[in-house]
Amino acid sequence: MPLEFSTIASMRFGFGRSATTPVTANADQLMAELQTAAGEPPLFMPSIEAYRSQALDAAAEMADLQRAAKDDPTQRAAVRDYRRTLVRAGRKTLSQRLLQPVVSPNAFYERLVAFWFDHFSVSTAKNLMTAAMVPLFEAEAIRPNVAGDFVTLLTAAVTHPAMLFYLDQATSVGPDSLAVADGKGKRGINENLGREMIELHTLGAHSGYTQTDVRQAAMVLTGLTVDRKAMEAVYRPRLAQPGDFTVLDRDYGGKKRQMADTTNLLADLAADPRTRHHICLKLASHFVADDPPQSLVGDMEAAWEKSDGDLSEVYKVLLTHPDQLKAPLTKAKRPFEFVVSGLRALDVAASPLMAGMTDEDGAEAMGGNDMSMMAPQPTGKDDVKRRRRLRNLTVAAINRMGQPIWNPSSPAGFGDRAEEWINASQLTERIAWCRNAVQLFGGDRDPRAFVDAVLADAAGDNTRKVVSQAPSRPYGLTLVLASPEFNRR
Amino acid sequence: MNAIPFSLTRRGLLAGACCAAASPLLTKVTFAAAPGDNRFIAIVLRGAMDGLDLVQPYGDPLLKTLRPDLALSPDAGLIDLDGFFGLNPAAAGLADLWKAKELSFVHAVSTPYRDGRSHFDGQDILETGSEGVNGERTGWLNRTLSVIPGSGKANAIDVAASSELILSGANRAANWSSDADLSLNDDQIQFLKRLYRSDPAFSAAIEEATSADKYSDLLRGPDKGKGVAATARLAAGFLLKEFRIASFSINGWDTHFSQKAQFQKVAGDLADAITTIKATLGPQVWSKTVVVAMTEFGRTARQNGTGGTDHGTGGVAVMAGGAIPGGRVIGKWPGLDDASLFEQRDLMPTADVREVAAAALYSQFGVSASALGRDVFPGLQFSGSAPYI
Repeated sequence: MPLEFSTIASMRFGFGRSATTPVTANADQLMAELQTAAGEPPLFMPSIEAYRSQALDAAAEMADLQRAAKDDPTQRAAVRDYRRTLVRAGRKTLSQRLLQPVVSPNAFYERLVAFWFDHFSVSTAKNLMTAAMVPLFEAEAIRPNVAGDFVTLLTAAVTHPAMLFYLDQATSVGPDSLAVADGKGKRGINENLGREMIELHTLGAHSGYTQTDVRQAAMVLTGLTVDRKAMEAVYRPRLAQPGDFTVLDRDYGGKKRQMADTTNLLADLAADPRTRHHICLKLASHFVADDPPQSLVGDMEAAWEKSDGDLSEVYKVLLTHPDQLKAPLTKAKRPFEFVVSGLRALDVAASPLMAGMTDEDGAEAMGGNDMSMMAPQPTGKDDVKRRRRLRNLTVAAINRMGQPIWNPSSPAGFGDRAEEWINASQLTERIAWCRNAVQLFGGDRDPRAFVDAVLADAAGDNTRKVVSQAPSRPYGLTLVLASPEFNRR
Repeated sequence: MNAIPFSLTRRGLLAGACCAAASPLLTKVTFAAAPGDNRFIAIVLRGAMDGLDLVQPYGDPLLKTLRPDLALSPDAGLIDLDGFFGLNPAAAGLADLWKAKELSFVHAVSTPYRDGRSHFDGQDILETGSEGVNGERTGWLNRTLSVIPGSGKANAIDVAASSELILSGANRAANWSSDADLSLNDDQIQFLKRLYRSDPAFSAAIEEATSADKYSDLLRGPDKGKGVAATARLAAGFLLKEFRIASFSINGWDTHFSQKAQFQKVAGDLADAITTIKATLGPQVWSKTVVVAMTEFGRTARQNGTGGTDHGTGGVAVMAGGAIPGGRVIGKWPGLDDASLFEQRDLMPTADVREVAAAALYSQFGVSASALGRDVFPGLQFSGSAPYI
């Protein structure tokens, strides 16, 4: 029997259900989220301006300390200490990032944000400067643009300073540029962004481009760099390679090099039919099935073509397609989705325990901009223990499961197929997570009611039966969260 | 145990492989049983290891011209190997193995992959052992299990499901990480097994977890540790039990920018991994062991404008173990002048890196030359007289 739409909405297109999650009746409700959510600031960055100015101050402070340490080696400890302070601050932002979809009523929007961040992966692991820019990347380039035109999203992502740092564009310089000619620009071309923009962000791997296309695209991109004082992307003609370039049979550049060369190239890549196919297939594979119905992908592509790449039109097809509605829930939740849905299932967001923890720290309540309960100064022994366990359930859990937040292992993002996330060590981590989560947040729930609340009509007979026979209440709850149905979506 | 319905479709494998291209994140160990006493470990160096940086042809004056910031010489710390090649001091941990003739390098090798230079496709081809991008869908090390003489498919291998392509396929291979710990009592495990019985993938995973957990509790000891050394210790530990074949990855070789520091870290990881394997296995088992480390492709012969190197073609394979005649830099050296480079840009591959692995499987497990060229590495001309072993 096909699943209720409310089940599909929460599990396939959201972060799962809880007893208190309102039911979504139809696709229009999900689409409406996209408009309201895009205008709201995320928990981890209530003010972009404030974040920017703090990050700039921190960068300046770090530069001062490093300069001092250069002259006087005894100052090195100060650099180390400050680095630690910055890493700690970054960790707090990570906790807030994790809680964002736990507390958000706009689950479909949050899933799309995660999808697109992954598609345009940047990583905090590169260096401190990139690390500071990654949250901005999500807030500025991804979140406002997930439901608009693809070309807008593409351009925002590829030209964002975080991307320019991450894929080495910030230091790429045309070998025959003015900067090199007058001896001031020692550095030369780096083709990292040129390659990934074609292979990963648009056309897709083995879609028919050549090394020459990659090289020429890198040449087109020269001039695009980062103004480190303002932390903004900037076009510097002195760094640009002069001349004409050909990428995929189209010409760019010319007598006077300009930023428009890059935006024109991005527009052409966005309009390429191979891009449309690559991205519709990836969306359908992410949301519906590792190998999604071809009819669904084809209809999404048609909607893309008809609307010139309006992503909202593509999502409408995704949400309402009859073959999607018939498809069983076979995708494996990735660690981030698993942990968020587990916390939602246990109503952790609404839990007085969670609110209590913030209060104890003297921090603002949930929804404020300082949710420091994840990395606070401990006050008592029990406190230390509880906080450690809480961290073990959130950011640390996701690290152990191999999907660290904002830190994908390559520009291609995290793997998305079931076989990658269902194996012995992964399952072992998840079972441990379920036991700990139930201990902390399980309360006196009845496992049978819990099945109904979080799995509804997605629960199979076997799971219902095994859960009902569990030797204890906590173990019954653990089995619900560890069940195949809860680990799939 | 039943065979595991394992949907190995191309995109999934690509996604998995590509994921690991650039980062320092650790991978799990995958391992399998096989008859006999000999051991084999494959290490996948993800992100395209710069062979010209690890084993530098310092005897060629062009190296310094192409790589002003990366090229070293023996008076600048490079460890001389044979008067022409030298080992990057970041891998100094391997120097004793070289002296003991338990280490060789095979230079200017690559998979048959040319001109694409995508981590995605490069790792796919490296791990499937294919001729090109639309070749095999299972890992060559997994297919090897079918052709080792005396190994009936059914009884050779213990458990199943793995996420690294090289050992993925129809034959059983297990997969475990150095800090996984199930810690449940038997009754609880029985409930989980029942819970998973209607979902084959979960069912296989819990079977594998319970069996691997038993082993790793025995292996782990008080210091399970972290990092590459812990992974290598786990791999070697499983080989001390009934397993004979293991694989794991070392990530982080994608050095586009300021290569020096990043390369130092990963080359040190590689040295740690190999020396840890030797220490864990002990002299007797080490004498029956071959380790082969391979990467998806090499990097550009010239350093780029940002002190790094971009995606290239020819590179280096590393062989170690008590069972190899080591102390040699093997291979036909193509030279570094423009005309000798591949597309005037990359080190020219002069041999197929698959032959290095084939030679090890031939000598360690008696896999026939015909099976190697047909089932394991389709299209590979392997005569059994390879210079590597």
